[in-house]
Amino acid sequence: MPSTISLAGTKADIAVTVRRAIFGPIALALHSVILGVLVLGILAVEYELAFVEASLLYLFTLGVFHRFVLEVLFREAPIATGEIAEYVSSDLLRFIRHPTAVKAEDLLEGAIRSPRGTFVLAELGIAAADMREATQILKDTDPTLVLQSAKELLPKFQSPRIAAPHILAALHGTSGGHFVSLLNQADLSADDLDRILEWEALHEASRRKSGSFSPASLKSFGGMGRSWVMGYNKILDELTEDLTAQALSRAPRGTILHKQEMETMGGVLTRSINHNALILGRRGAGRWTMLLSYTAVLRERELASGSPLSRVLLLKTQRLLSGTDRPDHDFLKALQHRDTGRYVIVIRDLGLLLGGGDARLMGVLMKLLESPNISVIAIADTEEYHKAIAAHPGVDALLEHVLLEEISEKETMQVLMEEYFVLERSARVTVPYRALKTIVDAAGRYVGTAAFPGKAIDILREVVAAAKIMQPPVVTEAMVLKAVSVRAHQDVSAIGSTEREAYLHLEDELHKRIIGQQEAVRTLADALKRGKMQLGTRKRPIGTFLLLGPTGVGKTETAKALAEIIFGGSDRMIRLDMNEFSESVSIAEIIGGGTGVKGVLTRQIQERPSSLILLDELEKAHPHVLNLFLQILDEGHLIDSDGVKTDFRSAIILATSNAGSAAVQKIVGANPEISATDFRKQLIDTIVTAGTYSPEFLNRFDEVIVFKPLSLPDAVLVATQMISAVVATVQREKGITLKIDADALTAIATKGYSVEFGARAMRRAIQDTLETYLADRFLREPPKRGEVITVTREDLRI
Amino acid sequence: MRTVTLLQPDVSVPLIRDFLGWYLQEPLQILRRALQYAKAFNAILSIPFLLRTLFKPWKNIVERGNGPMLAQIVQVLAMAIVSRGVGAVMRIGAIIIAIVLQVALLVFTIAYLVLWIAYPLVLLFVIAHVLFALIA
Repeated sequence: MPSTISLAGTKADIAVTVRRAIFGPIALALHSVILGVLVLGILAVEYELAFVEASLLYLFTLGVFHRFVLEVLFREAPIATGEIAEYVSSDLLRFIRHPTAVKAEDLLEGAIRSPRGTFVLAELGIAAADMREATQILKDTDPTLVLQSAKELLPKFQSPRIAAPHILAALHGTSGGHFVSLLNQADLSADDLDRILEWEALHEASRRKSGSFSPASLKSFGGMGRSWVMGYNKILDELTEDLTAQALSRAPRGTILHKQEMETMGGVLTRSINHNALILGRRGAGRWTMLLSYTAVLRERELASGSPLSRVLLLKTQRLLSGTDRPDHDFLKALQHRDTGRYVIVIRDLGLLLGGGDARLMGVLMKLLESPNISVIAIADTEEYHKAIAAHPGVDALLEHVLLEEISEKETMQVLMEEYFVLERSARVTVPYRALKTIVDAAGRYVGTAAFPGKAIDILREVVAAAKIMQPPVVTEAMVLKAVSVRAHQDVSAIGSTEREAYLHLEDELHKRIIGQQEAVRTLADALKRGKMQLGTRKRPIGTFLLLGPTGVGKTETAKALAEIIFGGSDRMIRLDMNEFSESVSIAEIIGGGTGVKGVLTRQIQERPSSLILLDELEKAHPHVLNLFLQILDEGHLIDSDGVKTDFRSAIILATSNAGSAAVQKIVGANPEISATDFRKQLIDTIVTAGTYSPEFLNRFDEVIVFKPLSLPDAVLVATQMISAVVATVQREKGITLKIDADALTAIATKGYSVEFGARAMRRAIQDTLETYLADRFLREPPKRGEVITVTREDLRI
Repeated sequence: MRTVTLLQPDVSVPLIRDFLGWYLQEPLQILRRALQYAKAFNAILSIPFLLRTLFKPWKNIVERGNGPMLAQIVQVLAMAIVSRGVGAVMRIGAIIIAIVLQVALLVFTIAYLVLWIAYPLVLLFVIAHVLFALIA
């Protein structure tokens, strides 16, 4: 006999019972009959007043009881002590059929049927039918245990009573792993479940918030009478746009980002001098939203305190530049008509205004900046700032900089969830949690040209608009990846599966191209697989490696091969020859130097975050440049002097170094049969002893990969590989089959090989011998398609 | 039938007690809410502010005179009369709307309060009235 718990007689049960008694289906039918009779009475007895009174009073009575049920019975005040049954909310109890004997599976069924439970399951991407399978497993579970687990979750979700989401969360631990396996099927973790439950709580709060006609909402319309005396005039209306209405309707109400910066800006604008602000930040960082939030808060504070209202006006720069003959005179004159409050002039494109070089406009701007009753808020990104604003020190000195940094992925998720509530209401589209998570992950990884949260919100809006016309209207991960592909200028839709394949066969693929470096290739591939599997939680690049070894052993070739295998093309390799960065000033060239010009590295990573960075001959870089890269290795991102953050977490960094090359000969000379492990140890010891790199420096890399010197048999394999490419080209383009004698192959390999330079001269050797011979031969005797040419050592004259 | 449980004294007595307690306190809530609406209406259409600025020029449209002195005076004076006149008319209109809103709110609040407080009596009266109408 399964155990049961009685939820009858609790406050929630009484609330549900009263509601059902007064507003249940039977009761509603009864009300309809009574009202029908009263209306008939009105019609039958010639509009008898008594029936009119009775009808109105009946409706009033229903209204009174409705308020009593909602405001008293359904009000969920916290419970200090009490039976566990008292904690069950009326919202959940409504969906439990027999409250006198509630089993664990009844709790689950009630949670599934309640709207809050439906929301959670939809966001998890779990079908109600799949969830119901857990009822079988719960048959022997004590319902009190489920309620106790749910009660323990209440402080975490700041809820006074147990509702459907808490039951589902409690079942995560008590359903014998069924829920866990459903989550696994949906590729969601316990943390994801927590986030969804927090989201649901926000959703519920947003659903319950006061309506449009509440006193608070009415107040936000602002004052009609006040605005009529605040200097409205034709010129001002033409040249500016009042942002207050836009701010009151569009400023976010939930999560306010950049609160600290907003307070700083508020402080700056109320100063007696230098009361102008310049909001600096990347596109998408939330500059405009912060301005709207500030405007809304300012209006609410001024209304609450009864102080004169400020007018926040967006300057239509283009109109000022083209629409009036005397912009300086007209605009300033318009602003003089001010009785109360103050003006805050917002300039979105200060660069354009300054770039025009119009002395009169410059005069207007300076007067605006210096006027005691006018504050200016300018908005710019760092590039625009350096190009146009910093070039005018007089203007720049009057602007207090407010720097907006990019928010984290966690904060972005919060913002997306709130944006979804708004979109959900207007578009009636479901966005499952997985889709939201994909937006944040993919935008963070592939869209580097804009900042969070803007880039994620743009994608969300686009996919919601696309899903609106679909049946059912649900946003899928594929739709998100398609939208990201457009922004990232690369197809990221199939990247998950192709990348997985690439990593799975990485070692084999590398071996096909890199000869004689079994140990190095294995270490590299294993470390990359480990790095890849941590992606998402890892705060550093996917992999960071220092490739040591003499020249001509395949270090650069390894980088090229990795870029092709993992990122799909050798054009995804950013090669920096560290020879060129041997001065401390070189840093500016790499990351930009506060001049508005982006650095060669940061620009490319912002455009394509998934790239391979090859730092060639690392030992030749200036120590300051090395320190810069150490920061990237440690933190996975770089904030330049403009405050712009570049994310390197989707990149792979390979640094090559010939350090210790001289020692290589000694080590191999002393013991030609030395094992790869011993060779690695001896070479690193030598480098550390020589002071080229410190052990701390070497430890910053995921792995130090040592490439052994190539042997002659290895060189023959390298030559074979290169000659195969020549043979394939000739076959493809001229239709001629080339056969290379083994003697000839060995001779070419020997010519292209040296102990000191490995296979570096191999390509040259092939050019000098085989390609020269073929050129001569084809000139002497024009080849015929289908011909077979055998190349011997004698032909090559080696 | 779950609703039958409402007839049990251990359920119905506290329920009636809760209802009466809430019903007697509710007039205060009604007054508070009416006050909030009055403040909200006043924020949208502020009568004190409209009165204070009653004769301010409409949209601050004013004339700076050009030409001979007399012409200037006439020009500025005409514009001032028109602009301030229009301003006053618009504001008086707004004041009337504001007064109508506040009065309507007041009437509604009083009616609601009276009905709330006198509900038991009104109920008896209406029942009697209906019965009387049916008999008649």
